[in-house]
Amino acid sequence: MRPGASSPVKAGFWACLPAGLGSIPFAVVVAVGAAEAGLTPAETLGMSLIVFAGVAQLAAVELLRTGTPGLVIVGVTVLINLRFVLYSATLRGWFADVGRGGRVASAQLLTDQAFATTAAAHAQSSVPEGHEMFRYYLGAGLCQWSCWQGGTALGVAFGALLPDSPLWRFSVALVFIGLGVPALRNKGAVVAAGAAIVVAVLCRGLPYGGSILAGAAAGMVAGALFDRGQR
Amino acid sequence: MMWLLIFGMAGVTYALRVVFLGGGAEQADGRWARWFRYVPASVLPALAASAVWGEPGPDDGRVPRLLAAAVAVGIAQLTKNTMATLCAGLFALWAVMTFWP
Repeated sequence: MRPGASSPVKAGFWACLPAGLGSIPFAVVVAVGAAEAGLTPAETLGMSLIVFAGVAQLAAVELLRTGTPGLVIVGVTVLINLRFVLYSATLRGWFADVGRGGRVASAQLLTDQAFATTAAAHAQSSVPEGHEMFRYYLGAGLCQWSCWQGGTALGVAFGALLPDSPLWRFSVALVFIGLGVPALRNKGAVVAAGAAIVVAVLCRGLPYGGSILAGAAAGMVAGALFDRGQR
Repeated sequence: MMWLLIFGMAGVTYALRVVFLGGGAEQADGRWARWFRYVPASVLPALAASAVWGEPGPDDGRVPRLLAAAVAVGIAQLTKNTMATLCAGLFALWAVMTFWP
């Protein structure tokens, strides 16, 4: 845990802060896109509050702008967010002795950033599995939730005035690099990461986050096959 | 209608999030564990690679982004610190974009 952090919740919050801050420009982009697609400020803020899934929100506003039917948008949301099933299954194993009510209530906080922060702590063995890991995840999730809602509000209020910069957009990638590199602690993880990168780049033409799903699936299979070959 | 769409998106997203978190331990253990062991090592590089490489086709910013990402990977490996990685990567991208011929 971060030195000086007195509880797992605070440690998770602080650990997720770079990722959370890095997502603020993305939230601003989503809010500006939503306004251009015809959503009112209340609808934009409401979408961030109750959907709370950045890539899916961005896809939705893009599809709304082109007049796509609502059912198709919901279907696309399922496709984009399928990765949450992987995250959910992984976290379930790490929260083994946490009560069902807490796990069900905390599911809304599950995002790329909260999962990545928790996974990095797990990979470094800096937080024990169980209740401490669960509270660490809650802190990370609350941090990401706060940053996302703040960024959306910023975008609703001032989005039209902000300059567009490639540095802002690149910050999202940098956060994933900062969280991902420390997780590569053994040969199997390096093999999985290599396969994920190659497949994600090769499949980058796939719509709706398909390249990420394909890359992740390839990495998981490569890692599992590597483990089998080592036995 | 917009609120109906928003609640529909929220409903399916929550269902995907809670499918294993809300279930019993037996759902997440055993046969799943082997496959999910490498989720962090697979998902994070896939997310980063997609963001760094960008969309298919010509992209003037790809080389600067790849160089900055290489710097970021080095700093992440050295420091294990996300904020240091973020700052170093942003500085590297700014420098490459400024001085790239």
